[in-house]
Amino acid sequence: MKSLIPFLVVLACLFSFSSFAVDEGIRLQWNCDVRNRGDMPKKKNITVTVENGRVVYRPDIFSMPFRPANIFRIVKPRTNAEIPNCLRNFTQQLNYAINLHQRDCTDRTNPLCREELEGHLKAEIRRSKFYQKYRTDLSAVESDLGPALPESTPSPRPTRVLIRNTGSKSSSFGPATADTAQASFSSGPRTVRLERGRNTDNSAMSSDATERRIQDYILDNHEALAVEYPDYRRRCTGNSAINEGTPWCRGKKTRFDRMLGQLNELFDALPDGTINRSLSLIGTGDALSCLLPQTSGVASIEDLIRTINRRTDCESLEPGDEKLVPGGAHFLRRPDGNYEATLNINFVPLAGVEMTGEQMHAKVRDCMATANPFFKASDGRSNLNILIKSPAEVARDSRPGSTPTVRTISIVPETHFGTSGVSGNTAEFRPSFDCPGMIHEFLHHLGLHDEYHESRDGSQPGQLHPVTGRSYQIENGCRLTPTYPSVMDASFRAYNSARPNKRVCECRPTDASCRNTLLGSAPEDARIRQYMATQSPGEVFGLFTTSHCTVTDVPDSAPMNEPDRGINIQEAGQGMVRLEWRSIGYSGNKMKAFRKQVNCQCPAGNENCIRKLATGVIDLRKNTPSYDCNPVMQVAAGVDASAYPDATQVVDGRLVQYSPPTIPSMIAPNQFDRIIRGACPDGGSGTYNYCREFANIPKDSAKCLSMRPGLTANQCLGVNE
Amino acid sequence: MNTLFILLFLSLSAHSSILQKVRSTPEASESQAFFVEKDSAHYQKNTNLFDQPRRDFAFGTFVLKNRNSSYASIQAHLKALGEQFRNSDKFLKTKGMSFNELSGEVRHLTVFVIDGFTVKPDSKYFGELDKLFAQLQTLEWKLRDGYSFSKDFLSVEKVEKEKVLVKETFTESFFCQKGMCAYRGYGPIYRN
Repeated sequence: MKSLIPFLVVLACLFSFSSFAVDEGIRLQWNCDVRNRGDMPKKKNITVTVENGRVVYRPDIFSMPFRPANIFRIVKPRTNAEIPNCLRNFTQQLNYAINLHQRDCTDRTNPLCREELEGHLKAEIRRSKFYQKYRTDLSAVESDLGPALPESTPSPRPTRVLIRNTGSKSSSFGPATADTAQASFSSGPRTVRLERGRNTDNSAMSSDATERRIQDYILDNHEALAVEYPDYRRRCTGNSAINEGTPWCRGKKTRFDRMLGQLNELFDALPDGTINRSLSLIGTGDALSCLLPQTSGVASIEDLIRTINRRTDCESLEPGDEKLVPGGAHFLRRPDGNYEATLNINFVPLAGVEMTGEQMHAKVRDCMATANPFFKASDGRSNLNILIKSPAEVARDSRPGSTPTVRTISIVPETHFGTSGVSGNTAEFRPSFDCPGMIHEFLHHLGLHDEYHESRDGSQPGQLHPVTGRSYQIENGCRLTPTYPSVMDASFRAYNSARPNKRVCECRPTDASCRNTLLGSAPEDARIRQYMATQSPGEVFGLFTTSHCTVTDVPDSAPMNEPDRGINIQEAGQGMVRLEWRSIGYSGNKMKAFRKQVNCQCPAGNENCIRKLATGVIDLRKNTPSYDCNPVMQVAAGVDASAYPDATQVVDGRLVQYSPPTIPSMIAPNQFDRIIRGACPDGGSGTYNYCREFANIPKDSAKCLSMRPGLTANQCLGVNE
Repeated sequence: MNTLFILLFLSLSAHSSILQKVRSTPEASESQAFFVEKDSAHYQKNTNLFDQPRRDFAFGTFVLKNRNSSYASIQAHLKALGEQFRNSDKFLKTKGMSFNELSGEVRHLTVFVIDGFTVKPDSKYFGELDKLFAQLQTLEWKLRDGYSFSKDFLSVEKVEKEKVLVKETFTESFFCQKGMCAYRGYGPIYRN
């Protein structure tokens, strides 16, 4: 009962929020004496101050947000000899967290603290069952620690390597490959093996794991370098581990052991202080962990901490909650029933670009305003608003601990990508970048992965990747590619399918034949108007798929099926389609429909072409009006489209093309959950996280062959076939 | 087939040089490759992206009609560079690496591939290869097998063994979008 008292106090506080007081200028400093064997600082400070009525937590290590989960992480024991110390720290910190709230709640005259505390307290209440469980288990944990552990037991589960260069001695690093860097130390040249996971997690793509950043960190910033293996942790050691004994896990383990051996050998050979090192080898690893391996002897603490961390990281937000997603990629709020994800984006124009960062932010705001109402959850009740803020806006709006990592996106000259039609990627936007494309890239930053087929349909058949020598059909061929309109596949298709589209088109001023057709009462005029509003098959199939088609003229006298439709599909099958397309043109001074026989046949094995034809036929059968004006017309300038009816018809001498949404949301259910739950392996995003592990690996790799999910890509997204 | 052929060719003909300029985007792999041998040369292109000094609208395999003195100099230069890359690769292999592994990811970049070795834009050799590539383009090439578009893009000729086999109507509104076209497996073809 005694152990419940703090929680009762917290509960009492929650329900008596009339006012709070925390004295201005009060400063609490807590030192944790973590007895690291390595070179980590001896003291860890968490400073709590009250500034302008706000409670500010300042953990001094890696700017880690103040969360109970983070406090728990600093107390993992290394060996039996250290267990008492770690347990003491643990208890200290636990009591600290609780007392902090007790103090804030009992001293309640400052109303400015209310909002700040309210959020924390609500979160603490939800977590209290874990505290409670721990406190209940504390004595059991002590007796559960098992037999004495040998000192320096090799790690069974390394997940992260940290290298810290103090800068006290000269060192330089040559080019690094995936796992090797040539390093020159004062003691002579060395090879350092570095490990990094595949870039399967796009939310971390701006993080440390690139050669350049590795070198920057070590050489210039003298910062810690972190190389993580989220895959290993997720698949081999987590509660949802598939099997620690699988060939994949065993293989990785062998590599880790080798790497660690080499690192240790290197470090031992160097004069003291050349490199500060810390090898954090713990499943939930972070820099605050006690620095030697866990073994089964401390499994109950480990499990407990893991459970707490996972629950706090992965739990869904209740209305009023907020959190920085693990890794800090974005900040999530749920101010009401809806969600809000904030990205911290710094747009930096390159030399010669006139557009400023502010102008790009304004463009992005306009774009997101057209899209945000259509990021809907599968239940249709909640919505996700994606906010793209500048670092200055984030600094203005955020509290410490809720600041997402800054992502820099260069604004590149229009000529940057040549004339390829490419407008941007996650790190580079052209000033003219289109809205669906920008959304696609922002969703990468929110953790979604590519779902398009990288088969390079535009390449010569059988063309090989210039480096790997593998066919483009193979490269990234393990990726699951949906037929559902996904914004991570065909961004325009998804953007247009999820939103109601209305386009008001008008004839060019000098085009009398166009006007005569629009206003004509003859049946032929009515048909041509239908054809005008129809999507062209080239537009639907895509440029490179059409290169596998032939187009021939159909005589006017030939029998005509479905004469009121712009496209008559005659036959469609696996990788083939035959259709008649009624193209609009001129015959003398009259507008005329030209009948074209279109036959498409994909080369055998060209999966991208086969898929594009299949999805194209699905879209054509819906008979959705074109999202663009027919080339013989132009967009009516200066008109308010909302004043026109939601129907495809001629109004005021203009052709209105309207299509209602054909899919319920711009992001599929599992994509939505991935954003609001993060990368948690069992965090509620269905199979998405597992499917995404296969997004960037070759089709012929062992992993793809043995572990690729037996799911369709649509199932990965959580949508029906 | 291009690159398959390139690799096959490379293995059979150690003394020839192959210089390819390639860019992969999510949509396509754009490539032009020169095959430089002692007594002959040919050139394959599926895009006019890299055309210099102006865009041309013929695609397929071209043969060199006239080997002048600059050809010999280019040939020697390419051979020397290829040798240099091969030696670097040999050395790196003794360290458990390879030249191309060290080059790293090339996705969505314009790169040169010389005798199978990839050179990225941040390499000091990129500019040198770019000059060589431009010099090769200025030589006198003739379409042997492929397609050649009319200036107005209303028709396209199919060429086989340097002879026009058939002239076809080209439906631009179907095969082209936003100034880019694709036809019979060739593309992107840039109109401007």
